[in-house]
Amino acid sequence: MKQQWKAFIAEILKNRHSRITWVTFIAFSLAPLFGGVFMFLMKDNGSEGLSGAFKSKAVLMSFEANWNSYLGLLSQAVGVGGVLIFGFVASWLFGREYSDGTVKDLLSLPISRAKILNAKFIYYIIWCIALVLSNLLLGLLIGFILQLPGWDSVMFLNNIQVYSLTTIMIILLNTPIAFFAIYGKGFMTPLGIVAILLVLAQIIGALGFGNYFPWAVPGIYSGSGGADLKAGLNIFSYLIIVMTSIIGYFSTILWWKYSDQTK
Amino acid sequence: MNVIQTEKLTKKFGDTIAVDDVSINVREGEIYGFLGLNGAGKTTTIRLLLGMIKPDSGSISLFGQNAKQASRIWNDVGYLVETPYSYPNLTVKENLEVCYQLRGLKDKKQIDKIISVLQLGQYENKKAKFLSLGNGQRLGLAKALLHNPKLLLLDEPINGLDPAGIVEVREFLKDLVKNHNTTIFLSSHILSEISKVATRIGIVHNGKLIKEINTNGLEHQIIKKLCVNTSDNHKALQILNGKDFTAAINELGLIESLDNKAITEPETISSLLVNSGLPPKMLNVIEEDLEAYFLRMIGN
Repeated sequence: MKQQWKAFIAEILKNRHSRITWVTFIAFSLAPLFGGVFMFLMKDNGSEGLSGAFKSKAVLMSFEANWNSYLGLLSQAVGVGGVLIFGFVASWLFGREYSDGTVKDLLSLPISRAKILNAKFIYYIIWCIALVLSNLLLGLLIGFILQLPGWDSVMFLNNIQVYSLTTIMIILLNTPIAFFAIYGKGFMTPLGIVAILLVLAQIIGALGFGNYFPWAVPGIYSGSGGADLKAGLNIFSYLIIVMTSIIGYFSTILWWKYSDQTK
Repeated sequence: MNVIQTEKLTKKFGDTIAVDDVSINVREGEIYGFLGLNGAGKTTTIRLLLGMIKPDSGSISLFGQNAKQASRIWNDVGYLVETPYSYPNLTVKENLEVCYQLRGLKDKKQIDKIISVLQLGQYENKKAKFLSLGNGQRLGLAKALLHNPKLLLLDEPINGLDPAGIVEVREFLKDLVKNHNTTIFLSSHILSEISKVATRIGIVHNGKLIKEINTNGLEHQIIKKLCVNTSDNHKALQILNGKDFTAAINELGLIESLDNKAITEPETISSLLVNSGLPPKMLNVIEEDLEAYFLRMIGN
């Protein structure tokens, strides 16, 4: 446990001056900011305040300028944008040792290689949670500034539940990204995989099979595909996510422990 | 005691045999120089010793034990493999703090001490990405030495250092062995450099260990020859052969002799030729340089 703690401290030290941290926070905060603009434009005239694709989307999703719609938007931002941003975080944390050339300093140590990766996984989870918390706080601030109607605690708790579960699903889904960072020896390969998964999630979702494609499930659960698609999710949709995560985690650890490290 | 012992160590990458049947014994307090051209198998051998890659066959023991992952043995081993890199956005001190945590060390003074020993004091708050190549190398050495290891595995440690830095590192390594009984396994492709610091040298070529020599015996391994030029080298050769000197005309048309008597008594040759009416225009005892010796050893 002491070793695990020290490995985690080392991980904190490594990321102390990392600009990537702030880049992810800024990128992720675009969701509540643009969601706020969306609400602001709809506030007086509903969907008539919007134009083009935004208007079509608002009509399709029955968006209104109220707390329920706004918090729903934040969940959808996690469900879709989280695949990209959390995937970026995982790619960076696990791939940087190869890109920085520091990986060889982590291999012949009195601490197990698994603990070094576990420290990264813990740091990754904390980073993602910090991202969604900051977005939630920013969203609440914007919502109160806009004086959105329809606040009540039941609505809030329902939305928080969706927001939290969507977050957990996306966090779980990035263990395979960690594997591709280790396997690809850098952050370019996993970033490419993230981009492919994002596209596949859209295509497979549009084809109607998103319920069984792990990277499409959080988006559907968050409501980005509408209530009908969400109603199609079943226990297997969630089991697939858990299985994907477990396979990703153990593949990462085993590959890191037992493959030849030549870089 | 053998600090490093390998038995018939072999590693292949596809069809390429990177390390071929290499058996090495490095004794405590020794500086073992591992010499070879680029791609000879030096780095692969060091990675094998460090457990970064697995051998296809053969065995490795460090301090008489099979060094497994996460073994405590690794706190007795310091290493530097190829170009040392550090976290670019961390300062020198912060980079050493990362190593300090990962190695589970208990005395933070060790960081200040190694900064002082490697004269990194003025750079301790400088980010690694702004360090010169030489100071980056010093930081790599500082990471390798932070925990006072009993064994140092250094892959091309003087790469990027200026002449003053090379001398400094050389003296530092000698001091480690002399005063701290550290054992050092050091790879390089420069024989002249390795011969200044190593007590024993292993020459590796195409993955094979082709020769091991004691540095103090290197003098006897190096070829010396006498080269002579006169106005008529064929006639001069007959004169020398007539006096029982073994010599021949080389590809440049000069008389060349590997005869020990000719090499140690060139004045005798000179007198003989002068008295025969063929005074030498040139008479020179040539000693094979270390690079030529190395190339001869690897059959190049």
